[in-house]
Amino acid sequence: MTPVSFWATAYDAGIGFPILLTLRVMAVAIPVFFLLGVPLGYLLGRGRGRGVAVLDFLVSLPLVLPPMAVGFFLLLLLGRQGPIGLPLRHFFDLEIVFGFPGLALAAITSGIPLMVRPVQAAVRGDLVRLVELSAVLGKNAPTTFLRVVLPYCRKSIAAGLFLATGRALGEVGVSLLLGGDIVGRTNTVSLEIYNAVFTGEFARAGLLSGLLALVSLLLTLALKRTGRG
Amino acid sequence: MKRILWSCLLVLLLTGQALAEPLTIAAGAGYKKLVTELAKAFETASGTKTELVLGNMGQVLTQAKSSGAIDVIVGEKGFLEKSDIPFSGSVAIGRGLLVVAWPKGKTLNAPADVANASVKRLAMPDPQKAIYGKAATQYLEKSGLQKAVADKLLVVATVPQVTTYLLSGEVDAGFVNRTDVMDLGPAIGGYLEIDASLYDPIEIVAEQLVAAKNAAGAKAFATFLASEGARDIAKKHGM
Repeated sequence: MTPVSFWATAYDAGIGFPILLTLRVMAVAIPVFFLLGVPLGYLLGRGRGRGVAVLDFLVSLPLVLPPMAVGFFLLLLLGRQGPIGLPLRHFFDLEIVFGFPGLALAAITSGIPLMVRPVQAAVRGDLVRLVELSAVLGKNAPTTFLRVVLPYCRKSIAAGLFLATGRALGEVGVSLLLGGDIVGRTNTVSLEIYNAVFTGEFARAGLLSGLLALVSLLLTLALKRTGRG
Repeated sequence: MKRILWSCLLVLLLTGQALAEPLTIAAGAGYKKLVTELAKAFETASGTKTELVLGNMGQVLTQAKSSGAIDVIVGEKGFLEKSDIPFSGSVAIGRGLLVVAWPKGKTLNAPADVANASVKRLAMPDPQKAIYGKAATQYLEKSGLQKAVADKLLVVATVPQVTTYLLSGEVDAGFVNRTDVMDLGPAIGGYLEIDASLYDPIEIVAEQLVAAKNAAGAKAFATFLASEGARDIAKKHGM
């Protein structure tokens, strides 16, 4: 790639939109990873019974199934005619497919298994004793969760957030089907890389991939810091 | 010990197959059914084993360029010839046909009905990536419908993506190729062919690569494609 074509690609106005869109998707997905992933990981790690096993299975599905298949099932569920999509549209006028909600959901679905797993592993073991101690000392469940469980799992939560965010950033299959990959509306950075490879624009694909690699580097550094602290 | 022996035997068998020099055919994923059937018929007729590489055309072209392992590419003539891959010859397979399809529970009486108010979302593949997207744009321009549908047009990446949205009822109509929807039967509402004079002809060909490893096989495949049997298969798949 010549420097001229590289900068021509970099200044291309079409690249700004996918970057901003991806940032917006992450602004929704990352808090959800934390707010949903930590309790879910705690539940799956500590809970027992058939319901927990089923939930465990469901959470692992996006990890095991090809993203295209996950996207297709979600499309059938959430589409205009779907058992969930139809009432959502009817009662709340909310359309998930072909818009921002679809992209956010795609990012959350693909990232959540990776958020849950490390937390799930961390809450087993010594934590049981600490939680019991906290109860003996008269602390209620929310306080125990905030003051004991969260600090105890700090590193696993950070690792989960890193993995989930990375996975969500690079996601193509689910966001392609739920978002539609509509240029100027739902083309995230990863979809834009997919598009660029598709049409043989390797400079563009390389630039955007470099950008994601840079984000990954920053995330790694941040993770190292939390690991030390 | 027994297990090791069996594994060795398996490896030997697999290598034996690889040494028989199969014919490697690459094609756009949209032509999967057509190319699979053609390849099977060719295998039976010639005894040469075939291997298929299916994917989007950008991916297929890159693989052909960088692997050197592909003997024949099936795709749209203009698109293939625009790439910088050297070809040694081409055989026509058939003509790709643009159709407008709609999901279950809807009805269109004529292609121009896409402009009606009952069609709220009209999907088409990206004209820059998919040849049928280009054809759909030409049709909308030539038929004067472009303005009427501009606000409800959903431009997505590929033909199979449009088909998926038709199957799930996510759009009210979509432009696809006939090969992609003709086998869907009751899974969609139906489809209508677009007047072929309103878009540039889409010629589906098999191009032989200069760098083909199995040049003799590629030549035999070209001869096979010109046969009556091959033409019947193409016809069966909507070409």
